[in-house]
Amino acid sequence: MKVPTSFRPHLRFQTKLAVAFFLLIFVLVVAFVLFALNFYESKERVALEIRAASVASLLGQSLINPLYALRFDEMRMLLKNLLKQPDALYAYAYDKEGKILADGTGKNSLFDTIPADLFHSNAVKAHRFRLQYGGEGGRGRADILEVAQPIYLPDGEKLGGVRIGFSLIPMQQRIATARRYTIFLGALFALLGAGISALMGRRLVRPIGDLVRGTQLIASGNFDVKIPKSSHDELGMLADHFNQMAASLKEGRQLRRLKRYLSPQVAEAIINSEEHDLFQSRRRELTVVFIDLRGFTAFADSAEPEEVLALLRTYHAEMGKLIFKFEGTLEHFAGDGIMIFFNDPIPCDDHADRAVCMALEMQARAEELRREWSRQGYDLHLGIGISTGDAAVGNIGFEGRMEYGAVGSVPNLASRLSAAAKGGQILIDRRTLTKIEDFVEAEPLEILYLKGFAVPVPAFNIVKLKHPGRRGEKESVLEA
Amino acid sequence: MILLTIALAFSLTPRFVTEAAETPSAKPKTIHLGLVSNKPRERIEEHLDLINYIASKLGPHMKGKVVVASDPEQMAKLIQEKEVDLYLESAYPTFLINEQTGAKLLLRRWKEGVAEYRTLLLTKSDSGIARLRDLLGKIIALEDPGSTSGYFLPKAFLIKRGFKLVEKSSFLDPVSSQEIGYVFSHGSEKTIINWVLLRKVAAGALNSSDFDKLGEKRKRELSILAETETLPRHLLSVRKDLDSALTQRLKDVLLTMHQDEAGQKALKKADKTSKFDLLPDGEEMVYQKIRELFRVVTQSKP
Repeated sequence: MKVPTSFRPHLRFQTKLAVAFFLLIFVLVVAFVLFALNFYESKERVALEIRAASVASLLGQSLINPLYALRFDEMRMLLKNLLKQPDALYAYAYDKEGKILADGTGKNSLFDTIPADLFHSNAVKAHRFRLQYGGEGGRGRADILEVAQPIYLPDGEKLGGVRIGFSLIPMQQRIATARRYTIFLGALFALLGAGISALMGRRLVRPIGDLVRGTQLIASGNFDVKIPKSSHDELGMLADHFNQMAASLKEGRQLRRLKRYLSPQVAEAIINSEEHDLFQSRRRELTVVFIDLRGFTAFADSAEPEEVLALLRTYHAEMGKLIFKFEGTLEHFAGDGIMIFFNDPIPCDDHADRAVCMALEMQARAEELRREWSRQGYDLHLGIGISTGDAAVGNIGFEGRMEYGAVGSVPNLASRLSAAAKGGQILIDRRTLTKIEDFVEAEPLEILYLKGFAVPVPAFNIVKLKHPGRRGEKESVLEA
Repeated sequence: MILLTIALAFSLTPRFVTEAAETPSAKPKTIHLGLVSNKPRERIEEHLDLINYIASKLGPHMKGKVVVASDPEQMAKLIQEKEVDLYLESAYPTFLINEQTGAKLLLRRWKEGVAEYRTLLLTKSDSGIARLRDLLGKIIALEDPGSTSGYFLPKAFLIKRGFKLVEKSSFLDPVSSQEIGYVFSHGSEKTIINWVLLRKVAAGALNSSDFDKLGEKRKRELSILAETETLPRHLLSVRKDLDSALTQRLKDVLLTMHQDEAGQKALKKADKTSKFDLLPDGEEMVYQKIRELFRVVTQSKP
């Protein structure tokens, strides 16, 4: 009957392996035991047959003279000596007609009789040594081995013969003893095999168990798993490959995470770098860029959600291209607002230059988009704020929900400047200006009183690049 | 049961007698060589080639057979029943058998290159026995009562010199100072030599042929007390009624068989026979000598 799958016992692989090993060892042990017993029994039988044949032959030789001269006492003495052997049951010498002349017993009670059994009549007619197993049931269950040796004169004349019966009981007792010992040893080996099977199963399955646990950890998102290499065989290779795979997956995840913030080429560069703990919290000088759309709230209120999403998709895509182009780190999207910073996790000396160049191209591209949006009836304009200074960067959040970002006054200032910027403006703070004033034209604005800042903030609007060619050089450097 | 066994044993004559009754038609074509021994297998084995050689020379359809009797009496019976055509024996049994059956001496058999032999009475060199008279009151060793050199010759020799010999069952038995006791070794010549060397007996009888085969060291340990007269080493006789032409052919074959290689091989295998030759002084001279010795031996019996 087929057992429904749901009711089948789910054996562990280790158990299955151990059972398989044990069955293999058990079968081998049983086969060996059977072979050994059969071999021993055959050996015993052959040895007895050889001994019986030798004894009969030697006795036949010794009986030639007394049989020729009918020296009965000598015949009886020879047969009597033979009967001293522990397994010799009977022995008698007969003439060529089969009549018993001496039987080796004290009374010589078989004298002058002719045994009526078939073996005797065949032996009398035979010209050669004969052998048969007698008793209950043939060779397999016989309890006596009978041999008959014809006796000849050197000139070939037959004088008679000698017949001897050997008891098989001593041999069967030896076989039974050997059988007991062999079965005991077989059972011992089977038990030993069971132990070895369990150990081997455990030893073989341990690396597989490690792999299973490793895959479970990877499935749960932990790529820091490394399983021990327990051997130099295929399992060891499997462990190596698994560890390589885990490392690759970890790199892949890091890459995916980096690609959220960085251009693909920067992400690859970071992955391939030897620096670890890229997202470790630290303090670093950043140039932070904040952009958002003027008029977006009104647009979002009036437009259909699908329209809003479609517009945002285009807007994000276009801005994203520029972010990647200038190798900025995309900190986050928040509706129409986007925060980007430079100089982390890949450090770069010209972070302010890059930020400003990107901002200018963003405004240029936003202008193109604005024409399209205008055709659709939307009045949207891009405002950008840029601030430079030290900020805390690293992973922000908790296990399972971590974000890489920057915090501090610099991002806040960039955000406030972005909010203060009118459509088409790029507002920067003084520190940013000091870094870029060599190649941009900036106009000072009125002092801004920004929320969250106790003192007024001088702000500047970037008008254009002083030397567009130089901007081109800058871009070339960036692309290189 | 014992009586039944004895009765049945007597009813069973030895196998060669029953064979003779069963196969009368085989007789004319088979020539039977007789030997006296208690080791028929060995004797048959040794002499099979000899009788086969003889048979092959006698005629293409002749076959040879070796028949072994256990004692001279049985051999005499076999000859009388024509179960034996020729036989080989030493001088003393030959005399006994031929006297009983009328068988005729035909040839002398050389053994190991020896045509005649005598018996030596040996004593240990340091035994202090220097003369035959020193044996009085002591026991000597003889071989067995059917032996020519081991019994017949030494006994006759000592009796002829006036000593009275008495058989003893053991060399521990007491012996009168007027007599010489003797025991049978029933074994090989080595047994007698050992008895002499171990001082179990005062002297032992050994034929000259066996003595010659001893090593020098052993010979030095022994001293020869006396030497008997010589007799032919071995004799071949034929039954009296064997066809004369066949007897002549047999004689011719035997006298020449040592001249060819196959004959030599068969002779050597047959108890180291060297050759057969004619009795130098004729059959009667041999008989006369043995008869005289026999008379001495038998007349001395108590």
